[in-house]
Amino acid sequence: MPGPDDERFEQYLKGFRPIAPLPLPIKRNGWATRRAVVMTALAAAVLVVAAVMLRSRLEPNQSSERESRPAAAEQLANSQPLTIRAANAMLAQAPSAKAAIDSVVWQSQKTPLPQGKRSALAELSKEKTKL
Amino acid sequence: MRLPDKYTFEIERAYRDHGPALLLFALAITGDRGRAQDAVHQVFLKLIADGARRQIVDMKAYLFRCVHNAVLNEIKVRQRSVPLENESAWFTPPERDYSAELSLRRALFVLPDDQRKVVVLHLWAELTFSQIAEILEISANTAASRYRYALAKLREAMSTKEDSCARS
Repeated sequence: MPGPDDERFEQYLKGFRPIAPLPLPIKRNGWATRRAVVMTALAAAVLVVAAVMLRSRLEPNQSSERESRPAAAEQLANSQPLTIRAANAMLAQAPSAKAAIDSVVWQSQKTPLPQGKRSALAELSKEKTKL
Repeated sequence: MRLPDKYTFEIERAYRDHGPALLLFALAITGDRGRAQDAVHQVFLKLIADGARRQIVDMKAYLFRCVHNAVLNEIKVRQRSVPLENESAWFTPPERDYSAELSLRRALFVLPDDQRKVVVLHLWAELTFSQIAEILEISANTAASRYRYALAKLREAMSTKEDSCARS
């Protein structure tokens, strides 16, 4: 039976690690590399399809929002006089500043003027300005 | 024939896991790093070339048996025994004690071949005496007794070396 000294000596000897051999001289057949490329391409394709599907699901909602915004602006322009507060609200709701301004401008032209009042824009358009 | 890659990866993993002990085992028999390295490579390359056709129960013991046979065959072919090489290290020593590494190598060097094989297989390949018995085609008791003798001789040789170093 080995004694405690033997065991200590065995442990000491096990502390010497055998040196590793040289790498095996084999050629990779490239299958693993090709598999990795194919897997990456598949993953990319799945991601693209998922992104397209997600976008197509989100787009109708966004377009309906876009459609509702000019409607809100139009409603605002029709129902009450244009104040800074109303304009700010319209700008916040509109898809763009240009769209908000357009909706106000074209809507304001459609609004009939009160009796005896004239549109400055109409008067200015009558003037023949010589440039 | 295209190789089954899963099998090749398994063989490569076995090479990483057992390669150092296999190389040491081959070194302990041949005494020459180049020949030992060749024997280990030969075994693994043959395994890869054969593919997953063999049902191997104990892969580790099987690898040591293959290396043992490869080295013995190579010695038969050469019909001569080469003295153990005393120049290149066999081990990475603890705490970079290279004088202890040389001392251990010399102690292994003077052991009889049969005892050297057993001590390498049990200590550094961590094989049981039953596995060693199967590889070397001896009984487990013989393997155990060879191991005890070898350990005692190693200890004596290394302590003598330490004593002589301490005296000088």
